Amino acid sequence: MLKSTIRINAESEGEHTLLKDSFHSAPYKVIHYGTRHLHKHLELIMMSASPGIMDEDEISITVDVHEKAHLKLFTQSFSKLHPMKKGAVQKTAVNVKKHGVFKYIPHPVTPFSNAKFKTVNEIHLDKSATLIWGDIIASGRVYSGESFQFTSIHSITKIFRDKKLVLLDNQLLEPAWQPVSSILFYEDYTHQATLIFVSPYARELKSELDEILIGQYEQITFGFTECAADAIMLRAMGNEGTLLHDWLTTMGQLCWEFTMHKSQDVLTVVDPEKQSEALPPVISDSEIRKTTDAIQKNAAYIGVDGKKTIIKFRKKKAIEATCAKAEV
Amino acid sequence: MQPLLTLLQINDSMFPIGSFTHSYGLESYVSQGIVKDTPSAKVYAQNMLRYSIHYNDAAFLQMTWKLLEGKKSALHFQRLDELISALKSPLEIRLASRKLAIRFLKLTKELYPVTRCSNYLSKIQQGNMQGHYPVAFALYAHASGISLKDALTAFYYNTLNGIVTNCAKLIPIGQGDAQKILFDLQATINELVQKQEMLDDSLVGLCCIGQDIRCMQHEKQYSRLYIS
Repeated sequence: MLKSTIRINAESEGEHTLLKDSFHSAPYKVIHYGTRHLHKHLELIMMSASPGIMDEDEISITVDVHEKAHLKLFTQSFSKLHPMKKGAVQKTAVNVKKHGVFKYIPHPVTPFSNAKFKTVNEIHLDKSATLIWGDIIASGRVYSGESFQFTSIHSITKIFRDKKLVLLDNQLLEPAWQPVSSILFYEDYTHQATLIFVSPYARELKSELDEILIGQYEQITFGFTECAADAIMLRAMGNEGTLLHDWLTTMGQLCWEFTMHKSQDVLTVVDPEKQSEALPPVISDSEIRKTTDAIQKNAAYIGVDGKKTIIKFRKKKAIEATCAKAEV
Repeated sequence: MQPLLTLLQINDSMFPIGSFTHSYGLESYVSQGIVKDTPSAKVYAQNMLRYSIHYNDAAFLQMTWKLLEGKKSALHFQRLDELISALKSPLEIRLASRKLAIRFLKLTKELYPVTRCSNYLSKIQQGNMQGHYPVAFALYAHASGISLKDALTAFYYNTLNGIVTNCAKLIPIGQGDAQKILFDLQATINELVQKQEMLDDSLVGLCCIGQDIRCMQHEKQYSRLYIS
């Protein structure tokens, strides 16, 4: 039984984002991910000396991303939920201010048998802020034959934009009374993943994704939608946590790159005389290439040409057609 | 105004508000071979009522009712409308709820005008509210002197009727089999109506992951008969 607190405060200074006033209590630790001089944005990793979340643990995470600050927060490993009686609680409060960008796609949550976990995320965004938020829930230690043996997982994510509730994701999994492997639930899959992108550029990215994500994969099934104004939600089910996390991270990175690319146009001061040269067309060729390249890389990783054949695009021809269009 | 006859009329599947044009993700399930015959149609129908409708549209109906009984201000209705919009993630599902609400409100206005309904409609049309069918249904049913229990029972029944009718068209299953599902799930509907009032606030809007994904996939379905 541990009460832990993590506080992260990211502030921008000139072109860089710096970590200011961070705090963490055992067993958690937050440090720079690699050298902090490598990027203009801030990259942090959250580590834990504990083997996982235990009964009656209470974790409180607060992330403040100030004006124009850009933060990527990583996790070290899968979040393991150990057997419990009373249950553990995690509360995350995120505040992203004007032109701030926050990306957080933690490793999958793996509940052991009898795990009981409630996680509440409350996210406040300025209208100009961007959020890239992911979460993956596994059914258990699947390879040990421990699937849907947990007691309860309740995950609530509330997203406010300019103080108005725009998105509420309420997920409760209690295998004792829900037919979790049936229609409407996991079907025959063992993992679920959600990626949420809230941004002034979400609508533009959605039309890009409409061009890119035209196939379905063999080992994961996914859908995406405009879940609210200026917001995209992508949901998937699959059988492997690492694969889903890699895919979600790639998609999250795509959201990040797109936001950076677009926000440069907004934040760069343009000389009015050179304005017509400086402003790129609505969707430039290079932009399309950039996004399709990212997906191509993703597809290559998951083994279209490589030796590892984990996932294949069903409509490979259609993907090639999109790329050919981008090269024109 | 006769409460029972009004309920029968506004709850009729032929009541022209366009509900027959929506499958709420069923079309994806059928095209992917997941819902494929009478047994799987029955599982789908039962799961929809028990794990989706109970926590969502039926709960929204009940919440609207509570606001009406408590004579709550317009602000509460505004908040409820926002909450429902925030919970309905798939775009087509959100739009379906809005379209049905608008057509329901326009049509019932011609039958028997209700101030709250007209206000809701004008707020939707002005863009101040999104508009959701279970709210519209509750507003009108309440004003028509229908009891909450009857309104809820009818609402579940009509939802199920829509599901089995769509199954009969899409899979297809026999009309007789469809009616059998409708009859067999009477006990489920009764149970859910009884439990509705006890529903904890923290469980309102529970999402079924598979259902959400299939509804999102419907946006990209190449050939389709339904809007959602």
